[in-house]
Amino acid sequence: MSESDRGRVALASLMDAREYFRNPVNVALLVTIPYLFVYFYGAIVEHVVQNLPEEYAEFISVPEAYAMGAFFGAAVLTGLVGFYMVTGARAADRRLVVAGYRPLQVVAGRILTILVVALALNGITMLILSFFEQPRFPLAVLAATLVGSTIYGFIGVVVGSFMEEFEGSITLFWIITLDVGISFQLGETGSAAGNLFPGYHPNQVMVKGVTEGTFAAESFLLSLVYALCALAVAVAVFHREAST
Amino acid sequence: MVLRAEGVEKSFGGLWKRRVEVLKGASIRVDEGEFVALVGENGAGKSVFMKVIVGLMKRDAGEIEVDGTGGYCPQELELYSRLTCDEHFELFGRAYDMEREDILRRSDELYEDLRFAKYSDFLVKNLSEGTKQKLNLSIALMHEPDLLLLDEPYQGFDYDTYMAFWDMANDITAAGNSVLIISHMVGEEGRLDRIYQLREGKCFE
Repeated sequence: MSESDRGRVALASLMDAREYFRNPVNVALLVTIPYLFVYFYGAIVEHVVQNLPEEYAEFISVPEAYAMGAFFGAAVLTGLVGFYMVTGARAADRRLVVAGYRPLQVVAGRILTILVVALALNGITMLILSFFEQPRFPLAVLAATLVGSTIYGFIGVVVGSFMEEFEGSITLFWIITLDVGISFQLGETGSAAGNLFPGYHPNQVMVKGVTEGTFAAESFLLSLVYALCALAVAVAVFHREAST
Repeated sequence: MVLRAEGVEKSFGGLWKRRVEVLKGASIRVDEGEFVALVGENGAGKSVFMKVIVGLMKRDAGEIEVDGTGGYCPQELELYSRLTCDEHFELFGRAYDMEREDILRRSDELYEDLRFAKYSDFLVKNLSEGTKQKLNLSIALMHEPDLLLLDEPYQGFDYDTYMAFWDMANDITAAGNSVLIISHMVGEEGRLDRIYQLREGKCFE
């Protein structure tokens, strides 16, 4: 990458970040979404456990529920950030490409901004989680939520590159809902289908970090591979849409 | 010759949607220093033709040749809502490969010509429609392109700005650069070198 390319990507990313952080709603969501997900996931499960007979309650992990809330809160918000960042500026981005930016430079700026937002969001998420529950291996949980939310950020870019706001947000919502509701359970039954969901491998890292205090290196590696594949698809789809 | 489009065809639809042929062999030519208008009824395909020329849409058939740099002002406001006017100049100036001093010089000139300097640090979302349109147009003009492609660029302008726009456009052609404008031309025919009418997918001079 030449100095000129780097300069263009840096400028595009700076402008993207300004656009994002200048919206007070976006800044408020960085705090409220993680709080609501962590609180509701944890509080609901805690309530259920308190009202279950002891022989059933022992199968449910309250710390895991809080961490799941942290994970999906970060994933949902980063996915939406990726999605709306692309749909909201689609026409202006294409004009920028006509003016001389290469599609790869524009999408690289977007990707960098998503990474910055994901970093900020996960820092806030871990802080909020620590008020409710202290995981046995916090770094494993941070790694899991960071890579998981980044995957969703890239998926948001993919969906946002070719779908309009209404159908795109519904598609994204269904991917996340299926991931939350099905992938984890499918994985536990030994079905290979669970492995295909974006949140499956990061979840494995998180659960091990919460319940066993260990770092599931293999699952983390698979999460990184998944993230790289999602990144490649995001870049390809954005490039195709911005080039025509 | 600055622009030559020959036999351009473009249709929409296909498997799931009704097929609509918009351009059926449209041809147009713009020479150096010419001020050319493209007119036609609503839905005739003027904006589609310009988007095909610019490269925002793929053509189904035909040839397009542009000699030199181009500047495009779309009919819709294609801007970033939470960036300022200055930041738009900086970003698009980088896209045009302009030096920083040139970006500042040209933005100052355009602020003055189109009279919106006091909004330089305003976010686009806080601008009036007319001022947004001034920025929309300025982005197309800032690198002093050889060929300006303008799709009804003066919507929302007040009378003084509208007149200033035509003066600017005449200065541009007087300097040897060319302009292709989609216009409804209320009494502006005298300013133009040639007029093409787009009718039933073809251009007639």
